[in-house]
Formats: sequence, structure tokens, C-alpha cells
Amino acid sequence: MSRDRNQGRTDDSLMEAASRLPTDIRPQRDLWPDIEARLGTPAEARPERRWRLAGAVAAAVGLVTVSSLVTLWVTDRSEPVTVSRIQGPMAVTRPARSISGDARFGPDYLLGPKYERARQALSEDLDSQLEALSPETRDVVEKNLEQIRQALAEINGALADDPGNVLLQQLLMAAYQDELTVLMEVNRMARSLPTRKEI
Amino acid sequence: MRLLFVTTLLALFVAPGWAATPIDEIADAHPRGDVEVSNVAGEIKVTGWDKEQVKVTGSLGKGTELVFERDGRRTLVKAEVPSRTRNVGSSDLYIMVPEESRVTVTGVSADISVTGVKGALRIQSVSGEIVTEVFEEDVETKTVSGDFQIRGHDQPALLTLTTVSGNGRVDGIRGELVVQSVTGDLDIRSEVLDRARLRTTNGDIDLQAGLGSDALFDMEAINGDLRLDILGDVDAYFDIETFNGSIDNSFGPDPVRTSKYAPGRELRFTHGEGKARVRIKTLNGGVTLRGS
Repeated sequence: MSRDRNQGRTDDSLMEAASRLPTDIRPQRDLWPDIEARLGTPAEARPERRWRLAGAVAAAVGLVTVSSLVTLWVTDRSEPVTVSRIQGPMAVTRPARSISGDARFGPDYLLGPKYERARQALSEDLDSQLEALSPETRDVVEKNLEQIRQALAEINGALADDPGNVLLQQLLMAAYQDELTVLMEVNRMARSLPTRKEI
Repeated sequence: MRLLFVTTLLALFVAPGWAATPIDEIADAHPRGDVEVSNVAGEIKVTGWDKEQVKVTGSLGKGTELVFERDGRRTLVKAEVPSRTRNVGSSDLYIMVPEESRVTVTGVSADISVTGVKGALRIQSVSGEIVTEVFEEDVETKTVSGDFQIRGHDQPALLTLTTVSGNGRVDGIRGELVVQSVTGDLDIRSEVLDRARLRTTNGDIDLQAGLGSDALFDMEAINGDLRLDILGDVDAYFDIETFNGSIDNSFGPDPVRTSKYAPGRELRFTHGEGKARVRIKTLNGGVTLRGS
């Protein structure tokens, strides 16, 4: 109770002191002329703001660029990205002539550029290595590769209608592996054909 | 140190152009060494024997030379065709090797037979036929269009087969089997398999095998048909699915449609305790499952 009474007395004295303060404080000099002068020259302030804005944009662009380059460098050194979203018709290099189309993974994705490069290189190798094989064997290889590529097209077509189908995704990946295996094995076989060894 | 102990035979100069040159050479060899054999066309027949020697008989075709050398544990037998030589005659090489040897055979249109050799084998022929046996060591065969016939001895081993269009038959294999085919048809019989990974694009695969304890069977096809006959007791979990193919099973529940709007079928069930695991997937190919 006594604490409340003391607190009330303190509040009353503060209110009384506040009421004795002046209601306004005049500045030591007239500030209006300077303010008016600045309001009269707005064009002088804009270039400075524009430069600041341009600087901020440049910094942002620089940051994004550096960040992208770092990301690219890091991902390039680590495991290859297996698929990338299709950005447009010219997103990847066209494969070798014996490859009928892009390595699509369903309607929206392409296998990554590393895969495309490997596939294209193997296909080009095969074009030259096939010369070492008999016409009959060459015919067998080409027809079987064509069958794999028809299977790839068929699965991709089915995936276009049902992009989330896990079975189709598994079979598509296996079919791409089969294609690479045939390309690699036939290349390897053709290279290892017995030839004269100079002794 | 490299030791060249049999001279090269120049068949071109010692025989009339149209005649084959007979060969009969023998040399000591390491009992568990590596023997490498190659021949473009004709026949290669390698047989294991109980001697520590490699013997080569047969005949060399026109324009072909025989290279027969030993370098430590390695023995090379090669029917060598001079560069840019056309119309080369085929050569037949009949080779006896120590039965524990590891043998690598490479042919183009040469038919290859390797029997009685218990070491690891690597056999490759582009269009020739391959006949071989599997004992306890790994065997790997590769062919483009050549057919193959492989017989096991019910001993655990890894057998890897890669074929483009060649058809094949495998009997008596145990252990692990890995097969990849594009259009070749495969017929496989085995008392027991622990691992089987079989994949084909448009070929048909017919596997008749018992399930080893904790076995893993994985079969995939695009348009090819897959058939699995399980010998003996069935104790496995089955995961079978087709996108557009039929499923015909003699046990377990009926397959069901994967979707009201899609033609595919799926069949997932456990028979027994489900110790083994069988996975079969196709795009358009049909699946047949038999067992008791």
C-alpha cells in the first residue's frame, strides 16, 4: 500500500515539471532557405540515385554470374547430372548421324550433356569401326541398334502420356544402357580384331 | 625376359597358295598360366589336359602365319594375318592347354570351343559360334551374331553373356548369371541359381531354375517374352509388372490392371516366407511364371 502511495507522488511531480517546459524551440538560425534551395534543384539529386541503382544491379548480376560459374565448376567436377529439363529446341548438340534423335527422358527431360557427348562419341567411333566388320555383321549391328532406338522412342512416347510411370522410367534407363553397351562392345570387339603384329 | 621359342611359320612361302599348311607345335607352359588365342576365321578348339604344356595342331590358311610364344606365365597362340591382305584362308587351331589355365580366345568368324579348362575364360567371337564349359571360375562370353552353347557342372561361378543377336543355350549353371541380349533368344536351365540378371530388348528369355536361398532374380525385356519356370520349392516375393504385356502365372493371385486407363498388368505377392526375390518387368513382352 505505502509503495503505491509513493509511486503516485513521483508521478505527480513529473507531470508538474513537464508542464513547465516550453511548448516550442526555435532553431538558432533560419533553416528554410537551405531547404527551399534543395527543393528547387531536384535534377541534381537523380544522377546520384541512378548510379547507385546501376551499381546495385551490376553487383547483383555479378553475384549471380559468379554463383552460376561456381555451381557449374562444382557440378562439372562431381557426379554428372543425369537429366536436365528441356529448355528449348537448341538445348543440346545434335547427335551423330547414326543417332536418330536427342536422348530424351520422357517429355520434359534430356539426359545430360555428358551422356550426349559419350553417346555421340561412341556412335561416331562405331561408324568408323564398322568398316572393319563384314557386311553381314555390320547389318546385324545396325539393325539391332535400330531396334533399341525404336524401343527408346516407344518408351518415350508412352512416358509422354504417363510421365510419372516408374516402370517406363526404369525400362527407359535400361534401354539407354543397352544402347551404350552395344556401342561400346562392338567398338571394343572391332578394335580387338586380330591383325598383324610387327615382330 | 621374353622368350620366343618357336619360330613363325610363313605359310605363304612354304606351301602352294591354295593349300592349308599343317601345324604341329608344342611348348612348356605354366600350369596355371594365361593362354591367349586368336584367329580371324576358321575354327579354334581349346581343350584342357593334365600336362604342363601347350600343344598346337591344325592348319593355317593362305597368307596366315602362326605366332606361338611364351612370356613367363603367358602363352600366345595367334593365327596372324599380314596387314592389308585380302582373301585370307581360314585357319583351324586345335590347342591343348594345362587344365587350370586361364584362357582368352578372340575370333571374328571363327567357331570357338573351349572344353575341359577349369580356369577363368574370356571368349569373344563376332559371328562364330561359341561352345564352352563352366567350372568354378568366372566365364565371360561376348558375341555379335554368333550363337552360343554353355554347359556348367553345378559348381558356383559367375557367367556373363553379352550377345547382340546370337541365340544361346545354357545348362547346369550354378551361382550367378548375367545376360544381356538385344534380339538373341536365350534358353537357360539350372538346378539352382543364386543371382540372375537377364535383360533383352526384343529377344525371348526362357529361364528354368531353382531358387537359391535368398536368391535374387531380375529379368527385363522391352518387346521380348520372359518365361520363368521355378524348379523345386518356391519361397519368394514376386514383383512382376508389364506396361502392355500379359502375365500368365500358375500360382499366386491373379494379376491386376495397373490402371483403369492403361493396358499394363502387375502381380506382387509373397509365396512361402519370401526369402528369395523375383523381379520381372517388360514393356510389351509377355511374362509367364510357372512353379509348384
